[in-house]
Amino acid sequence: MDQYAILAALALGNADTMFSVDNFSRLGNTVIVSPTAPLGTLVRPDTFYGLGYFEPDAQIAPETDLTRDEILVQNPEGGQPIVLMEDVSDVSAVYTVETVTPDDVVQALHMGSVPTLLADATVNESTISPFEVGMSIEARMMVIRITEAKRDGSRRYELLWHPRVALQNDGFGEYQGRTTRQFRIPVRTWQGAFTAGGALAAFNGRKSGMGAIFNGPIEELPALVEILRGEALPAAAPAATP
Amino acid sequence: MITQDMQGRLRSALPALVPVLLPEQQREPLDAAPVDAQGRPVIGAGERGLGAYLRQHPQGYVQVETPLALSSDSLTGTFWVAVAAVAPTPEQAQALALLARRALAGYPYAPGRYREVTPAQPQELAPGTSAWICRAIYEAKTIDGHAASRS
Repeated sequence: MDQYAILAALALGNADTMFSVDNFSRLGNTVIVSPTAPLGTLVRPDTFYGLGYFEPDAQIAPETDLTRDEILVQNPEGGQPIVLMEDVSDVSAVYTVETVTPDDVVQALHMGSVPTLLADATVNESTISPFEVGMSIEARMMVIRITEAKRDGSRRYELLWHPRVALQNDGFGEYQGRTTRQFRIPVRTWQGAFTAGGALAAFNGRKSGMGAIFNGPIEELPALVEILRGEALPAAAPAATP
Repeated sequence: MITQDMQGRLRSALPALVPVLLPEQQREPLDAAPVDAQGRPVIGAGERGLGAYLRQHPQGYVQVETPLALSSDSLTGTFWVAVAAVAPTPEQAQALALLARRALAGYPYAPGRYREVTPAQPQELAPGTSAWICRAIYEAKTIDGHAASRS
């Protein structure tokens, strides 16, 4: 690629790709969740479930909120106090996700509180869950972003792994005259460790309580999801009392 | 396919004696002819065309027309599909069109898959033919290229 001589003289590391039209591209989103408790007979906690299609322009990214407190000290030279440091006192990350194609599973998750199957034979496929404002369903979540294919077919993925999130009902939306279901998904923290002896065991220091971000070639995505499927599992449920 | 899905929904909702025709069968009523005892067209005798077809199907018929492609946003595609109910009397045509509407668009409080986008009232197809048509247009959406369930 010919370049403006002055720019070429800067010897930038990505001089060949920084202006490439290949990078003017779209990003696709997939969200998969695995509730930590079963929902009726529909949803098992050891399985991940996809949230379906999103609108073409939807970008699934958390809205982060950060509170910083300034720590002020006296200026030894007089005058205004000076800022010694800024302390981060409060941090939160919240996803808003709007599913265009909610299936039975997504509809169950959208109730926002954990359902229990009714017992009577005439209604034993129906569930009951409390109507309580602010309730949520705890789950593990992965947000998978897949880049547009290059001409040689190669793609890359970005995977945001959250060991604990709260799925909350955020009402309904409308897209192309059809009803969509909106979720508000705050990220919770999880202080556990990766499975001892597992593929990620050596990288405990490289994740935070709110999760981790993975990035790599698309071919490695299924293996990574398979590894993460076994991580941050909910504690084994106590045996049901008879 | 949109037309196959519509035909399936109409077929299960309409009386068995009412034919539901796909776009590729549009010529069928126009080519109708009286048949002899063996079911072969009679040569040179009797009325032909729509009048003969409606005599064979006195309850009328429903025609699903070719979907008209309108727009796409790369996830969903929008088509308009006309569904015509044709019957010997305006009352029959309207009743048939209402059954088709229930099968496709459902009720406002229990919706169906297709939305009605232009309404219809019975109109005489041509003066003196005693054929009435009630032709409403429904909106069909595809998502990611699929019109109906993959299963």
